[in-house]
Amino acid sequence: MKEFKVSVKISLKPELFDPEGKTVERAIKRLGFSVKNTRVSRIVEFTVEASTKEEAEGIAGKITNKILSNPVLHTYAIKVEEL
Amino acid sequence: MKTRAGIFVFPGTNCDHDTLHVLKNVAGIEADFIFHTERNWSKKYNFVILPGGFSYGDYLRPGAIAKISPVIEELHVYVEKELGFVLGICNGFQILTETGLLPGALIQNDNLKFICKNVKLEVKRNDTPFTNLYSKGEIVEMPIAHRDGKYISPGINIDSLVVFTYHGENPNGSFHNIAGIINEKKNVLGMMPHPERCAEEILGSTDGLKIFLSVKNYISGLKSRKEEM
Repeated sequence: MKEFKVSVKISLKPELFDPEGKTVERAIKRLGFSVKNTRVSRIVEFTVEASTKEEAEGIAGKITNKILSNPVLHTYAIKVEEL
Repeated sequence: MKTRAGIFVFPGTNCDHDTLHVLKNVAGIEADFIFHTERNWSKKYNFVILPGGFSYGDYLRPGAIAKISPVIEELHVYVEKELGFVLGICNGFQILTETGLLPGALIQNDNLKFICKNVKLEVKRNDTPFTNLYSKGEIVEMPIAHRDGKYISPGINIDSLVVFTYHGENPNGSFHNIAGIINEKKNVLGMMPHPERCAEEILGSTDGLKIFLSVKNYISGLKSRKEEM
């Protein structure tokens, strides 16, 4: 068995209003920077044991669908690296 | 049939005692708590309430961790087999959408604030076990207290499921002013306002009491399984 580091980035779907992103953007602008399309995402990281990278990706996908993300609200991206 | 109510208690639930008090001492309904680790509760209760609070600290997002609690496993069967009625208040509503027992989701209020105040609601449907003592179109006042109460249901037409809408002002940006919805079977109601906080004259209003009395009224008209046999 090998160990893999999994990183799941969970974001609000682009069509959904992100009030936190809006507030962060306002703060950035207050510092004098000109930015747009600011969105806040969340990253969950964990280590998982699996025989192959594909297997680790499969496990990470199941975990993400079952609890880390809500299909009504989120899109997600999973990154898996062997340790 | 007699109403026998159970109140789910998760780590972080904080409206469980208020709800118990209103059920027992105001609505005259027999009630007790169901702890989140319990698995065999469904035969004992014909009314269960998922009360308000911050189950599991709202970690990940409200309701996300509560939905995989042992107590929830039986809830799916309970709803499917129509063994009783399920009311989710505030965090309870969030848990019900997370479980998929109600459509859509609840996200951060548009203004990012925790809003704690009385709001006016319109009763859109009184043909449900939860609202039969209200009139259709009646305007009532109930308190809300939430940061994640904006209801959305992208791509789903839920017009026929809306039971309560915010009247006058939409406090959180909810789609179609939605404050409470019911499922197709009419045995699960989720609502962001807190009816248990406005069930006694001494607290300023009794507008919420009729939710609990409606369920009691509806169940009293049902024959028990024994009587049917």
